[in-house]
Amino acid sequence: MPSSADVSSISVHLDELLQARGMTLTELAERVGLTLANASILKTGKARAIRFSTLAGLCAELQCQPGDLLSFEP
Amino acid sequence: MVRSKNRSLPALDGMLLVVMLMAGLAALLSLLDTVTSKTVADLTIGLTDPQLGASLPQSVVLDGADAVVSVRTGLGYRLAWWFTGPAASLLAVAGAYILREIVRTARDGDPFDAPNVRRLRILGGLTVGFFVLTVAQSFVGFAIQADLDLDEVSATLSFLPVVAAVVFFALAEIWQRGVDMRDDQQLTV
Repeated sequence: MPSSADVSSISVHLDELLQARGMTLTELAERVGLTLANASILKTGKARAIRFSTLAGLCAELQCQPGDLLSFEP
Repeated sequence: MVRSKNRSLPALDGMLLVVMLMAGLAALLSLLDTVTSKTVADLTIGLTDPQLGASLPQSVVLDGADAVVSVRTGLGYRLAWWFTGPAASLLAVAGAYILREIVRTARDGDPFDAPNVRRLRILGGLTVGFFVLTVAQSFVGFAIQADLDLDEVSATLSFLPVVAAVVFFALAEIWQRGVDMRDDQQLTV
């Protein structure tokens, strides 16, 4: 299992993408099938893991690539 | 969290409550006995020579032919004996209370949290404390025996509390792993 330090190296650029698409977090959560709580966990960078199904849903709704949504900062 | 439907948990909670009450009552009654009586009970001396019984001082009261004796001694020694012996029942009260808290978190649906890890470590500490008290009681027993000029000096020491303490500390670390796994699962979106 990755340590907390490893997990925090992954940044989630949900704010920028939501703003660019003119979408709220609530709308995105409903479309992807996430609870608002989980969407908030992802947005605030507290998530420890993301399912491929969730990632695919986010990319489909935000019309982006995984690399647009996630980045690695050592 | 969904409340657990496990019926054993409420029963376990009830049993721990009984243990708390009985251990607390035992400690209090033994204190009353210690203060009001003039003897220290259960000061066990193994007499290898049955003839030795005839030569024991008058302050020593044999209970049976060659096994358990009661000794008449001062309040100081009696309180020391109570503090290192029957008072250990109070540690059992504390331990049962802590176990009840753990059982309640399981009954309410989420036992894998940081407070339970802390509680298991405290249980390990209480068990170590109980072992320390049994060792201390041995020395109190030696002091009483020396005070009475008894030639037969012995003490019984069980290392089971040490084993139990190690088990509690190991459980705490395993529980911490459970907490981490629970957090990973809950924070997976």
